Amino acid sequence: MRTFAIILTILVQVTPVQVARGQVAVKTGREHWAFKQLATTNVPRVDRTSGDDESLAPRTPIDNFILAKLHEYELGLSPEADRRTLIRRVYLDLIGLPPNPGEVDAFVADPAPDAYERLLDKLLASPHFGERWGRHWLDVVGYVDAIGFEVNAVGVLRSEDKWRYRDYVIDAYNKDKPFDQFIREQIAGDELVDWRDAQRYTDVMRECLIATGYLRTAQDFTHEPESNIPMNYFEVLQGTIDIFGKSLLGLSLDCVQCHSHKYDPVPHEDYYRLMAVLTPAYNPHKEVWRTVIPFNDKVVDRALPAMGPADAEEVRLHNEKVDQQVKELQNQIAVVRETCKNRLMEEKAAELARIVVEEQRAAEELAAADGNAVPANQPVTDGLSLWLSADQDVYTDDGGNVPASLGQPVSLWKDRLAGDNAFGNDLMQVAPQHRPVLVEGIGTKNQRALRFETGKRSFLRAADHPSLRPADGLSIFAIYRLTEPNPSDMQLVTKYEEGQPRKGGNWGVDLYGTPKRLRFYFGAVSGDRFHGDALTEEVFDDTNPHQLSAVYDAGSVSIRMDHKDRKLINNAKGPPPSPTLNDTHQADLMVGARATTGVGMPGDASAFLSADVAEILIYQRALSGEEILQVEDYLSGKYGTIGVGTSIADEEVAAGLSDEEKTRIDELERNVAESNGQKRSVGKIQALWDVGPPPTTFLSLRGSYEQPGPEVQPGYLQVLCEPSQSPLIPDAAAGSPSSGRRLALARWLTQSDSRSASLLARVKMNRIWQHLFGNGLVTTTNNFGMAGPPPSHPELLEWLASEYVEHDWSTKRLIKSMTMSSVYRQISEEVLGSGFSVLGSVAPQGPRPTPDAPRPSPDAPRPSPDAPRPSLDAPRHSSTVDPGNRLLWRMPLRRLEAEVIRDCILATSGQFDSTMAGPPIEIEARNDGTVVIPEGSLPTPAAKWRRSIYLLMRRSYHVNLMCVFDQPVMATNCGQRDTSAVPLQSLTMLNDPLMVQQSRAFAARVAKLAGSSLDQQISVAYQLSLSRRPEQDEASWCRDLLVQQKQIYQNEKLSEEMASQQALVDLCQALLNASEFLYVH
Amino acid sequence: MSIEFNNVIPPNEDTSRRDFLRRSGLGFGSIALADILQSENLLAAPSAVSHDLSPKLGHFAPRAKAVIQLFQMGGPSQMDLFDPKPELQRRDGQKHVEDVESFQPGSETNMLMGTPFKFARHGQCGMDFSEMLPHLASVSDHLCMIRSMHTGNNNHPQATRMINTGKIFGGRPTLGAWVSYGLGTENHNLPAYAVLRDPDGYSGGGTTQWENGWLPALYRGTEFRSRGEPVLNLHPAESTSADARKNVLDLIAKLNEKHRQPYPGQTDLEARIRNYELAARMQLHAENLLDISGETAATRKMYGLDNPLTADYGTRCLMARRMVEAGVRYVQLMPPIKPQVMPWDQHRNLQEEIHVIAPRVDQPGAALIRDLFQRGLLDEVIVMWTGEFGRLPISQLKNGRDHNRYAFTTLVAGGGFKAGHIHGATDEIGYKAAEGRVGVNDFLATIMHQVGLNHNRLTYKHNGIEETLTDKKVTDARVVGEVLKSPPEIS
Repeated sequence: MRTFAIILTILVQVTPVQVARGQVAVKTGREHWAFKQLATTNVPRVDRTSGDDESLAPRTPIDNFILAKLHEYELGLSPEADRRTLIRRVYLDLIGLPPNPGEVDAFVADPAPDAYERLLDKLLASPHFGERWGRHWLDVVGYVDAIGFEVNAVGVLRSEDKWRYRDYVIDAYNKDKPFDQFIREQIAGDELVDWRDAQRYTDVMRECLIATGYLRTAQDFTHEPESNIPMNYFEVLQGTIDIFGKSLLGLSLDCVQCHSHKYDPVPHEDYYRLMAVLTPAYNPHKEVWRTVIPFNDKVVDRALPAMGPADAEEVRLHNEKVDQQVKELQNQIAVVRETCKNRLMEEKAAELARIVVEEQRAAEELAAADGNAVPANQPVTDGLSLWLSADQDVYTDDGGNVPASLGQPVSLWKDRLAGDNAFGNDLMQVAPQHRPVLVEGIGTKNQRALRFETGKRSFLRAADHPSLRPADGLSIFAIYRLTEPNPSDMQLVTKYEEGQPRKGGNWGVDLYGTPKRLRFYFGAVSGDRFHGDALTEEVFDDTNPHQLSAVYDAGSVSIRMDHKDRKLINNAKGPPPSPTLNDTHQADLMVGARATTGVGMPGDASAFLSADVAEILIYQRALSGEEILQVEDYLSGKYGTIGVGTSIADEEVAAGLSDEEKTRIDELERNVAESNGQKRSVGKIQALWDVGPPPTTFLSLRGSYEQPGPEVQPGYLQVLCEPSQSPLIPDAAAGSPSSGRRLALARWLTQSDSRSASLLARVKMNRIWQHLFGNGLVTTTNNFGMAGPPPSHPELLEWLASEYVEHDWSTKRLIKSMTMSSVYRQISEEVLGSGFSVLGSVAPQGPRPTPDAPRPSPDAPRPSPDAPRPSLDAPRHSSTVDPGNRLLWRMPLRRLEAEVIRDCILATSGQFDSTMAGPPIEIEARNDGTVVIPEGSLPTPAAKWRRSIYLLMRRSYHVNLMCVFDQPVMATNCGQRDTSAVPLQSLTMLNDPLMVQQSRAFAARVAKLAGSSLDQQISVAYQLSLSRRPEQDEASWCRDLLVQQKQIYQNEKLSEEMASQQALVDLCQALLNASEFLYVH
Repeated sequence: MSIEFNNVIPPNEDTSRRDFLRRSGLGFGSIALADILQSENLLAAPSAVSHDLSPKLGHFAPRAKAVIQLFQMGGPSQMDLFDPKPELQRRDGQKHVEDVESFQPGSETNMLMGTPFKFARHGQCGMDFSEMLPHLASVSDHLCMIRSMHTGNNNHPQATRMINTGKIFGGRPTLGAWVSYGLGTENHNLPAYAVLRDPDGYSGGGTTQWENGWLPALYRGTEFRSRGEPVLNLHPAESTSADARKNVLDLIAKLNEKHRQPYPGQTDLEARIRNYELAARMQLHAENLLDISGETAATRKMYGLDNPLTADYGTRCLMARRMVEAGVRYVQLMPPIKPQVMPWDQHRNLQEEIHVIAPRVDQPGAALIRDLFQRGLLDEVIVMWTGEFGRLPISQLKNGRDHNRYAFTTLVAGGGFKAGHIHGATDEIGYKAAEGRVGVNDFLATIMHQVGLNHNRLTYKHNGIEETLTDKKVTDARVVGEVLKSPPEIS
């Protein structure tokens, strides 16, 4: 207990943490360790603990700092890990992928004293280094490809081409771009280069613009019309300041939005000074606010083209040329298809003609048997209310004849000419310029039709005809053809009531929806709702002639198109509308247009017909099946075989192609694909740049923009300025293209010998330390404020930060210093080796593992924590003194991050696709709860196995495997990953289809490398997955499994070969499930 | 973390688990030192802080041991369901004198609109319900109706996050996550926090409604499915024989145990070994939990399983009862997503659309409350029926209502809440909560209180800041004693 007391005394002395309540004075705050300028530190002298063991002695100044502290607690370092452990450790830490067995063996066998250093150099130079360390930075900035906060699981809105920022970060790490420059580019890249007038962007310009994507990661809802309001603009500004504070300064600035910081020396106005730095770019005024996805024409996109205007023009011209080529090729394809289609049509026409003739004959026979039947070449006339025909005899301005044999059908034209009944003269109210005109050529018999034109707003209109109600049953026949393909919604016939409110009694036939289907609707209630409607399942948006037969009978609709019953969707059988219509309501019958709001003029321009109509017959009753056929026969007789063309579907054409045609089309399509592949895109940069003159920025009282306080000028955090320095940013020179505010901030932040740069360097070094040693020297990587814990090794942090700044902010150099240290090279085990180190003592009893000596088997005797130990003083196990290993008496055991786990699985199975950069690989959140990479979207099949950093990054939806291993919810940013151990991880590693698939690939790889020898298979599987050979007991357990599983599978009637294969798959999956696979040792 | 983690070891636990806890460094000596080091902020040892779901004692004796949230996404209309407003009926079609805050621009000056539904008083307590919720009305003597709820934002994503996490911003832990963190679970074969969503898809907001935020991931809600495999990846993607599977698990156990030995202080390695055992038990327990074939015909009928309209939601309600019986701490039950993902969002055709959603959830929800009561469980289970906000007294698009953050009604049953009680009141037209106002954070604090947690003392350190669910110093959240049967421990 004596030592225990000492520890407490020391702790109390060195931690005068007094968390101030209420506002902290800036002046006092400047004395907080994190806000001071970097202190000069002397590397402490350390006596060697053990004369003959190099690994326990300091190799680098880092070791001196760590050892000095350990010695204070009478502890020392643990021995160096063996080489297999070391190479796996540095591979995982530096590039996030496991070494392959050949690399391991070569390193183990390398006798050169600098073998380890050369290994580090090789990894630091690997392009995978940037992927591994860039991922850390993307966490820090909260990078996502999606926008907003992902309200929708299944659909995702994305920030187009945001990935360029991800690639910029990876590239910066690979180039070892000096960190100060990296930061300047990210805060003010747009102000560092003169891109505004550049016709072509240089690489530097492009990089600098892409870098500003750093300021574009905050949550942003303003792409929704409802959220396009000042409150949400300010949320984006606040989010950006929050990320800025946490990522670069290790300060949580959230609370300063409303009042001066409770714990840290950040006054309220400092927050708004920072905001004023951003407002020239994020201008929170509605007229200039830009959104990530514009929701209407008035809103502007918050992205820049990814190239200068001259380059963009070149791309445009190039693409135009390609488009032209493609168009020509597609024309050629169309010609081949058309030839085939015509051939098929002819065949069909002949077939249909045969049917028609047969039907006609049958009808005639029927007529002969029943003297009352109407001859087949005449329509049914009973109940015929309206007969509209483009027959020249009928449709003339100066009169015409209706065949006398028709008795008394109500023909629109006839009545108009007679001028003596309900339809009367209303037709005349259609002004001549809106009347349809006669055209020739519908049907195989080339009959005349009336052409209705949208542009001309053509229509016909007849006054109320009360009997035309669906309640009475209705039958409608028409011959028509659209004059434009894929039209907007358009009305064929409708009876629509004038006056408000509309209360039923109307009905209509229209082409409706996207794509266009034929619809019969009836019975409007108030609002735009119908009692019922029926839509054809098939789409009729082509320009072929069609013969329509629609019958409404007791609430149910049937539709025939081109002599064929059509399947209906939405056949809502509502009750027939109550006949509320009375004589006081006017309900006109319209052909070719929708509702009328004024006399004679349709009010809704969107519903005009673009079609040729040859004939329409409307009956005020439901015709029987036989009668329907009779009318159709009549129409066939008159127009020939209408509608044959439509029944040749694309699939039929595809199936009907001759071999020769097929070959030709294949060849042409290949050429199309090839040409399309040559297309280039200008692309976008999700950047931030000043969008105009800086607006005035006000301090918000209580954080609400609706309560503006005094105006504030742009500036820096006062606590990071010298008392003599002005914290304000001066105005830019007149005529500058931008305010220069962010550039000033960036320069202030990275200016050597400043408090700000000191803090920046500390925060960054602490992050690097955390990634290599599990915890930061300051455990709260995002909070260096006065309420956060102080560093465990304050001098070391100062030294690292000073080294960083002095050596050109080279990240690789500092990573190398850390990984070269003896501290980093220690074993991670707690009870193996010299966890018992005591200052001045000798090594513990028993053989100490030398680099790459075989690990002692668990059965071998090994020091027990309770056994007496040879030491001068009261010996203690390091794990008792410092169970949390904050003093680093051993290397911490660290669980891999989600992405690294997936990447390692892919690398182990041999499926890893190392392609770098480019647009993200899609991921899909499905309704069954799975989040997967959809096969259909992949540029190449192997792209499914791209590195995890290249998958689409959403805020809350991650591939299941990575989600369970704590891939963070990216609400703002992430300073520290969780490393939970939950049952869903076990279930996923055992059962997820991805794991099953990968285990199989892994097994196939093992079988290929190892052949059929079980021992060889086990050894290879171990080397691929764990970078070592199995120990004896492990090998025997694995062997047992292979034998047992094979037996089981053979009993299940698998062949011997299949059973062996499956057994090996099981072994491989077990190894991927092993804890050892998930950790860096 | 200022909560005391008194680990309660279930009496029938096998020795290996006890051994585990002992070896986890949770014995007195090591915890004392760790606490001292941590309180000094120097040798803070985050890796030594282990998180698990073992049952923990709260801050005071709990009134309830489990919570079921029947979430009613979209914003159920208070004046059409729970809160009759004669004055609004009288002024139907008139212009409201004040400005009304609408969500979608353009309807601010629309006329007041009375409800098309008839109201009546129900139960001995005489609680008002409209004709649209006859079944919930029939259990009104079990219900506490809070008519004076209000929230911070009138947009769905923000308000949904607020009712679940206390703030309108994303990325924070939900109430369910906090409760699991504070109390663990009594059934170590199942997750503490279960989510039952429509198997056809996610409601608006998706998984963000059961997120752990910055709490460790083991406190995230686990999605259970009411059709097919109960939990994602519960079973192998391809069938495999039990013997073969057992051999693989045995090998994993051996490898992991050997690997763990040099790391006695590393509790996550032990947890990983246990997790494989737990995973195997979960396969069995989750299956049993969701197997409702043993339920009587009367029960099934009560939940509406015989009716296609209610069968889906009823199944989930019945599963929720089975879950709390089995010791699950927090069950979040999401509404039907068809015909719309936010079923109570009636902007356009209020009357028709309430006719669509109300019958789907009314009977099953009431059945759950009645069933819990009949089994004597209602005292210790809280059932809450709530949306994220309410609706406006003025019309929108002729026959609908827009979002309203100033007033909505929430129902709570059981768990020590007053029964047959109406709390609070809105103004004469139902626009704003007027009497006995209850903010969302007050409500969350009250739920936490009933399960034995002090909302202001259950903290988690994130980025160096002690975070709480309700952030009392900003929101001034309080436990609403007026809705509770017995006086609260804290105010």
